[in-house]
Amino acid sequence: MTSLTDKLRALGVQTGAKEIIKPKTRNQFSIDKVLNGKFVETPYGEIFVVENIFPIEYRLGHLPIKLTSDMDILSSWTGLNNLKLLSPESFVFIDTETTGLSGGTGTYAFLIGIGQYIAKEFRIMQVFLSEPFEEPAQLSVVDQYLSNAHAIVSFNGKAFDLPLLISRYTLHNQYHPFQNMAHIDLLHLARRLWRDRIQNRMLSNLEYQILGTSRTEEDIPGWMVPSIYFDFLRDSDARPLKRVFYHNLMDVLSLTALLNYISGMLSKSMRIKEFHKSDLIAIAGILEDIGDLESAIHLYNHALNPANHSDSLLDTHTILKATDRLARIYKHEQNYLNAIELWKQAANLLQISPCVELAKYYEHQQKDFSEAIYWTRFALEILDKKMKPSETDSFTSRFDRDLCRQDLEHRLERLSRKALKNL
Amino acid sequence: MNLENLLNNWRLDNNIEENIAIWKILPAVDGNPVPIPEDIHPNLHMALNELGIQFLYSHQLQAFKLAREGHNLVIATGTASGKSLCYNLPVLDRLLHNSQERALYIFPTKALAQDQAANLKYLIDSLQTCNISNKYPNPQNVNPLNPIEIQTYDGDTPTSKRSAIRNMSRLLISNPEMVHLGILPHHTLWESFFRNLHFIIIDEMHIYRGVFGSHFSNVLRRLKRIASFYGTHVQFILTSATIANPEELAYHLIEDDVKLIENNGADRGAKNFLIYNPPVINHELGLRRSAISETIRLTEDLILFELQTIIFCRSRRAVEFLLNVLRERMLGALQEISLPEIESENLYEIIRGYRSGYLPKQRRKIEKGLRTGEVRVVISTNALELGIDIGRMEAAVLIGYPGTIASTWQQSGRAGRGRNASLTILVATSDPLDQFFVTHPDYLFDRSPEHGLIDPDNPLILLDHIRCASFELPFMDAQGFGSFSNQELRKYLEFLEQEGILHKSGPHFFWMADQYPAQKVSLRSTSSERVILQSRQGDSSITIGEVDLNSAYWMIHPNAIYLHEGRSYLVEELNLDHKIATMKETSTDYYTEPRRETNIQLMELFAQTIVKGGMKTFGEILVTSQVTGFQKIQWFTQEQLGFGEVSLPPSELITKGYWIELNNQTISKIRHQNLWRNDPQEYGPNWKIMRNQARARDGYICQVCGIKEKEKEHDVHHKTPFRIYKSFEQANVLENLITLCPTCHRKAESVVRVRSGLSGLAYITGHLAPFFVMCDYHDLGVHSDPHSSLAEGNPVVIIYDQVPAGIGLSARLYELHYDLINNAYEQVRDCVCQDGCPSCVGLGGEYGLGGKSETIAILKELTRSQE
Repeated sequence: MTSLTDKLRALGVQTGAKEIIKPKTRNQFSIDKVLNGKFVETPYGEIFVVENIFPIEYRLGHLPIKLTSDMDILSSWTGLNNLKLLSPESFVFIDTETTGLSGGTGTYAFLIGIGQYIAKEFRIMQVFLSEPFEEPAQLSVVDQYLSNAHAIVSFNGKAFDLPLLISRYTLHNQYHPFQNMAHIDLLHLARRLWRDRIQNRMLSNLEYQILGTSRTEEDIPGWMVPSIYFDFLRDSDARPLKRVFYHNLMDVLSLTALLNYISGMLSKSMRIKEFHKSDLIAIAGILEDIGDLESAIHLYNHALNPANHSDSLLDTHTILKATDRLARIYKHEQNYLNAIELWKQAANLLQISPCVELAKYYEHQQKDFSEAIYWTRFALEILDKKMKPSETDSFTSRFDRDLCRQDLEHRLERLSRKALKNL
Repeated sequence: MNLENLLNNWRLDNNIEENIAIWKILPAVDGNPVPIPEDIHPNLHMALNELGIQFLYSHQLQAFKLAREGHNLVIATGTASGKSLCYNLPVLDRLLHNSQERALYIFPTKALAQDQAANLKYLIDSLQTCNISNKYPNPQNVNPLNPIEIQTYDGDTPTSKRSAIRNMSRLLISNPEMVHLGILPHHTLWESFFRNLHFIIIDEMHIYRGVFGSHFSNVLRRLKRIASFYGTHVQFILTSATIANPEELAYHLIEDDVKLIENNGADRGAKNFLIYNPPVINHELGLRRSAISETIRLTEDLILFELQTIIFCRSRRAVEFLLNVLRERMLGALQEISLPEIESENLYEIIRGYRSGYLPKQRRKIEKGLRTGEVRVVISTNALELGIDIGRMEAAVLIGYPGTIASTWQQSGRAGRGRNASLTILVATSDPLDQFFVTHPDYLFDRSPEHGLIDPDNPLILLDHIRCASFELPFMDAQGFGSFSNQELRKYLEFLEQEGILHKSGPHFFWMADQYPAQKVSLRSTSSERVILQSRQGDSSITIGEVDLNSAYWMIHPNAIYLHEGRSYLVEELNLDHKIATMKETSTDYYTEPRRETNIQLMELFAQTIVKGGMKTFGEILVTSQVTGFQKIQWFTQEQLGFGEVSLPPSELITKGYWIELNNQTISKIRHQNLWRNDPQEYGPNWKIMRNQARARDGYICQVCGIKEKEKEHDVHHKTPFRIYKSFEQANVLENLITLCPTCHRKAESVVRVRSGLSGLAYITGHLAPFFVMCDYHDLGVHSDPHSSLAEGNPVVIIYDQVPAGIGLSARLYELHYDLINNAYEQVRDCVCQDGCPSCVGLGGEYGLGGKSETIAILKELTRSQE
């Protein structure tokens, strides 16, 4: 009689990849001996929670964790109208450490960090699964912490943490507490604000670049997290988990400072001189989105004006994009005088689309066909001259260029006809 | 009628008539129409009327009633019997009455699912119209604004649409892979779907057999497990082609009681079913004229008599070949005679090919041409066998037996319009199974002998799905997995715990790996180790497919010809370390057959019974085989073109097998029969001289027992049999000759005789076995051994599953022993060849002997008349 292991191995199943299990060290290095926390009672049993208190004046890098700015613009942009009415106590900052990154029902959050403002303090509760079967207790504690919350703040929570947590509540047949909650996903905002300036938009890098702080050596890269937990489940040695708790704590903490920073950027009382020019352009874009064109124009103009010095220079690509946006607003407001000036600036930088805009303007608004013909010809010249079209012109392939040429030639023909008629 | 005229012509044409081995006329059958039941939902009733359906067939009503009573059903009423209405009626009725409920339709492939979704839309659309113009009072108070959303969920479904489909769709159409990969691992997203799921429809159930079926059965175990987690008990309706065991297969798939509906109540037109056996052109070798060239001859007649025809080929290459030849031939014919409807210019439009690899747009055009009748002949692979709506042809031509009886009927079912008479011609090749039907047509027309078999508990497949299921929902201490018992399951869970994949926490086994197990499990194979096939084109190479490692040794050894989607590739390199085979497309006229050295050891004996002439056994075996070389065999003539050497390491396969052992009595009986022909005249003009030289060389002494020649001259024996040499000069060389006394000579000959008889037995049983267990020839391994360790040195023939740990094929063959033996006996006995041909014991046999008479002698001892 052979054992199943022998049988499966004989059939070609790869076995024995794991090293021999280390002796259990449960009592010596159990979680409550390694970390300063307590077991909390729930109707589903006990669960281990580490509580961390930070005074409200605490600063992460050069930024306070206390929420200092109004959320008017953020409210409008996220479409979460009640945000601006909420007290700081209504926000809850969430980050999870999970057993995998691939999602699906086999992945669970063994550590859930929840940050909240409570009176003069900021408190982070870290709810930990010493054993996976404690999950119902974990979820019910989290539910309890969230009972007064109205808005969630996360980093990539919309795509990852929240769906995963909701899935866990579903699995345990519990109602999840996230119904009707507003959700600010700072990753979405970070992408929007720093797309051109900061390549690596991971949370720890943003801390470094934006908040000017960096983590201690205790931090670990996210990809190592699942295996540390699995090792703990095997050998009960909780010591390596300290680094995971630190990582999670920092993630939650920096959510506050980051939200603070971003809401400061998106505040009526923001001080224009404090920001990088490309950030101003990104903010202007957000203001445009919510329909505050006046402020947007102001920011674009400030950023585009070379007289306003800044720490670093804008690259041509960003300048052209901003010019294009600003000219569009002017056109929309029928402020052609300003629009023309911008188009001409851009045309001189060998851009085709402003030439087309100018041709349109002279054709339709001014009925000045010869001027329109001039700009169309100019565009065709650019097209001929340019070996490699610039990125801001939308055509990139040969096909697009041919289309563009056809379009211009067509326009030229029509203009010539009209001009002839007018003679 | 054109069909009658053509058939009359053929009856009178000797060149055709004498090749028609079987001419079976299946008479028209009056269906059994019954009124649409009163208690069906009024909207559905109205929708049916709107589609012109005024009555149901009896089996449709039966299905409706039984489904309403809550039974699981399997419907096996034959082709074109309106099976889809058997499930659509109860499903739609239920969904109309219960505005929250959902149904899941599973079709075996994505293409079939999409095609069926389009069909179902007709019915739903007319239901929707009825909903809006609802004139009936609505007794159930069904919300008329709750339309039945029908959606397809497969790999092509855009991510942006998926969430809406999960929440809205009431009738979801999917395929096994999508359920396995896309739905089950994310079941929490499907919560409301599962909470309200009532029906699961499994169409074309007979496709789920062998490895695929065993995987699918486990997918269903998982599906049921998740459904019951959400408090749902699912009702199943399955449909199947006519096979021997629809109820059994359905039961093993869903692991629940199931009621069988098999009385077809639909109208059927008369069908002429012809088996055309191409004439023998070489009697000694039993070679027949090629099935393709005979098909061309027959198709020309079909075109001239204006019968719309579908031709089924076994390969994509054959489709193109036939297409070109037919178009050319018809062009020639048109120059001689003029037909009013056919002009040479539109010949291209009239005769079309159809196979995978054609663009979808092109395919739609051909399908439409077939429905409108503009396309007169379509030459297709089995791509047109299932599902796709092409209307009905008047004639179907099958070049060669398609491999299963179910397929044969599905292909034949493409011909036959309503109550009009139709024609099916099966053009036989020299393959043993083709020839078997020529002599045993009853298997085709009476009860199907095909058993759809699966083994959901195959350890490798089971292990895969226990991993997937653990990911989906942790197993608890006291749980089983489908019919797999709690006790047995525990061993697997503990194994996975040992491996660090599961973690026991409380009563649960939790998934503990940063992996997504379903992604690594292919439902169509057992081994996770696969060899990637790369086709080299100039400097670059593209991946054309993969083969599991076990099959790689014999399928893609260096210099093998590998067939893939009808193309031939010459394997240039097989790198077992990196698991990559490099090949190059080629156009050879031969294929390769590996030469394997096989050794089989017994691992565990499961069952053993004395049978006539010996013993039959079923057990677990270790097959060690090594590919040492290969033969090149020409495609159409089956002629051997040469050998090649291969050096590959041996491979091991643990599997289940069934073997037939000959007992001593049988062996000695065969030894004593005077079977061999020992006529000196046959050995050529130099025989006398060579014979004397050999005797002189050996000192007139028997080289085995040492007896000296007395009055009577000793015999001279060919060590390698005379017949395998091309000329007598090669056979009669001294190195091949040995002097033996008559007694020793008889012994030597009898060893050869048993050997070649045994290899003939292996050949015929190996080729017939797939017919009973509904598998491909390559799904089974066959081996014969005159001195087998499995039978204390007695001769055996072993048939084993090619899948690690077995998939139930040899298990069933063990039960079907006498069916296999008796049919093998009749087949060899009735074969027209002289001494072995591809249709009976194989050409040439293993040792160059046909061995036909020896095989018959063995089979005669093994057969038993059935009571």
